[in-house]
Amino acid sequence: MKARRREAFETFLAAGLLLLAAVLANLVAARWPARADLTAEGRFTLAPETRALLDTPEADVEVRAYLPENVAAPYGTVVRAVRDRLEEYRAASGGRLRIVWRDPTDPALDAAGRAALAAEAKGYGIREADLQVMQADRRVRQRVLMGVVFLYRDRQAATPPIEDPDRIEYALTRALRDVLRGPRRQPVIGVTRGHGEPDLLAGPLSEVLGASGTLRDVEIDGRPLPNDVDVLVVLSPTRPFSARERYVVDQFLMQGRALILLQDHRQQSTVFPDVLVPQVSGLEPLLAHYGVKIDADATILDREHSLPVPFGRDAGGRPMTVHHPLFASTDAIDRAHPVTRGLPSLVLPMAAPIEVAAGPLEVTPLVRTSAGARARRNVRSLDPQPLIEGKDAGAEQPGPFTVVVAASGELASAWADPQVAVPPPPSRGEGPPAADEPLVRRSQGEVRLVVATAGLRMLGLDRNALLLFQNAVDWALIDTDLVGIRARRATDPPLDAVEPGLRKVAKFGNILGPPALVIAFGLVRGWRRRRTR
Amino acid sequence: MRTLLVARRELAGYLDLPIAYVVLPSFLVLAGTWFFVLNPFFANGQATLRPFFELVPFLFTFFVPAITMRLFAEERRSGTLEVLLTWPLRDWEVVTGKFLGALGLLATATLLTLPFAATVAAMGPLDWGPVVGGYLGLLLLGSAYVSLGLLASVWTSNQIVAFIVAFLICFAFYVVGRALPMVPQALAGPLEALSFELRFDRVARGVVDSRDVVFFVSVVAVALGLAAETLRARRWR
Repeated sequence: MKARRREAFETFLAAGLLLLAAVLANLVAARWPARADLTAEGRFTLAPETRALLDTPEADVEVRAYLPENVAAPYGTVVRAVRDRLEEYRAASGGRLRIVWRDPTDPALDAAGRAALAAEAKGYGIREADLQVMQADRRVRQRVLMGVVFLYRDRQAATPPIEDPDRIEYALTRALRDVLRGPRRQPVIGVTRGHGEPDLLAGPLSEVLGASGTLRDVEIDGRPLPNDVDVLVVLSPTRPFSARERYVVDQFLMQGRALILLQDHRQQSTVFPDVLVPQVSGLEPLLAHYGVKIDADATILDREHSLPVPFGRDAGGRPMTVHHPLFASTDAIDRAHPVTRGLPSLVLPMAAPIEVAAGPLEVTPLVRTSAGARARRNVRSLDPQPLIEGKDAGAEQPGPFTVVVAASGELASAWADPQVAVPPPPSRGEGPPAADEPLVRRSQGEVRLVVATAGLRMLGLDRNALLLFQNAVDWALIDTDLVGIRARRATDPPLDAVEPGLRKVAKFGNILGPPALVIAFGLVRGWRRRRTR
Repeated sequence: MRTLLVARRELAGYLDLPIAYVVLPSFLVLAGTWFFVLNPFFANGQATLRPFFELVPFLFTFFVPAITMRLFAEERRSGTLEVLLTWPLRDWEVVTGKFLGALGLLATATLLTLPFAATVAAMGPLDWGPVVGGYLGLLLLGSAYVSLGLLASVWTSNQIVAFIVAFLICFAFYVVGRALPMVPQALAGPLEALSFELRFDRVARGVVDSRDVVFFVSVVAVALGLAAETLRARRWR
């Protein structure tokens, strides 16, 4: 009896010790973590840009990390990822980075302490993150301070709220760069309004573009554009710019500024969604003068490389998804250029071809369609079936086509020729037209242009298009040193073109091949066993 | 050495039973159908095995208990466990040997999906880092599942009970990560630390973190240790 009791005691003791050892091993591993990044481009390792920045401080950098420990799931994962990343920054800085951890949800803080901490964080420019959490079986919004501020000498730079694990390094390195670089005028990104463009300042894109500069609405009404705007973004206007408005954009560029135009050239009718109506920005003649000719009547389709998109409903009323030729995809991308660096692929819904003409600007084609793409004129229906079946395919123009370009250089105004009359400024009330500013005939510095013939629709479909948009803004602002970090958020690379027959072989070979191998092995093994008996 | 002998005996035992030729092909057909047809790989058009690595941990919650249910339960039912325990083997050697045998079968099944990776690599620029990470993650996750299934098998002489208990344990560790938004904040941290899925996802991205490796290894060690102690307890009961 005594021996049994002793045995039982030893068993429970051993089990307890085992559990204790496991807990200790995990605590040790958590205290001194080590990791290996197996990805080809070291996607989860500090980027060379970050490492280079961490080498530059001449004095210590203080990092104040406002990270909530008691944050609702699944955001705890993000908080831990930020912590891990900051530890990597500290290790790579050679002791120049000092981190102060602040927990806005620390239970040891009383209400006054919490308020003081929140005031301190807000004083540094830390903003609250908007989180969606479950509380008592209801989805509710929770606002939590979640950001990092870098303090260097008498300067400070804070990250925006970090909610996306893929954005951590970009946000941290950008703030670090800003604090090390010193006082610098915040660039102004003008977003055009007045021609049916989406309200970028109110939508999610404002957060995306806001990282690059201050966003500002620019009303296009024929008056000269504000002087403090560095880059003008024109995103999918539905009403074309007038000749006068083209003139003010031209004169804006003559100041050595930049223009980004992302334009959809086909719009779905609001009454009949399957009907496509032509849509131009009105800036096409101006761009053609600069050497970027958009064939707005033509629409690109690709029967082989296309995206599955919802279209129509089946007999049971269920939504159908079809590979739609008008939603071409491509991987023919100039990955060396800052605007398209690291982008594996891009979806080009209803894009129009761009022709590059010899001119004063150095124009770089950034994105081309596949060689199998075709251009069709006056596409008026979204119905994919006739396009898939190739009705009237004889009239199609063969690809590949350029669909995104970047251009830079000095150039002459489209109104440089004295024979070309300057459109008069808009009149105000019944008085004479407002006085115009003097015509600038030649650009005062380098002009930068990014033109894509797919706009809002592309941004809504493809995460890579958002990266392209952000990169374009940075390139236009001559601020491309962190573009490489952003490219790490791109999607997986696309597959090469595969013959349908080979696809079938690969599919069924993989599904049936390995199981057949196992069964064959079993049969041979059974047969040999029977023979040896 | 004696451990390896037990492992070999166990693996050979599996290969002599029809169940191996039902379970293994079923797993392969399901994984292949998911990845190439239901997912579907060619329509998505991306050179990645991510959808495959999203499914397999879930498949393992059924597949591993089917492998481990007989490890001890069958021996107890047929009375061969007593014979095995009379061998000049320590309890931990028996447990580890059986664990390695079952893991060998699971690893074989997993490695038979390597043609999927070869196919993707032949059709696009596949990044092998996440693939290596994914297979390493499957090995770690599979080891943890096998050890828990083995523990369930030690507790009972009924294979069905062993299967159900193992499935429930594996499934609980699998879904705990998904239940995080529904649990109180105070519990979220500890439960997240126990989530097999979240840890596997990190490794399958191509990042091998010592914390995740140590976690899976410690789950295996604790489960095998408890199984060995349960065997030991049989002697004095």
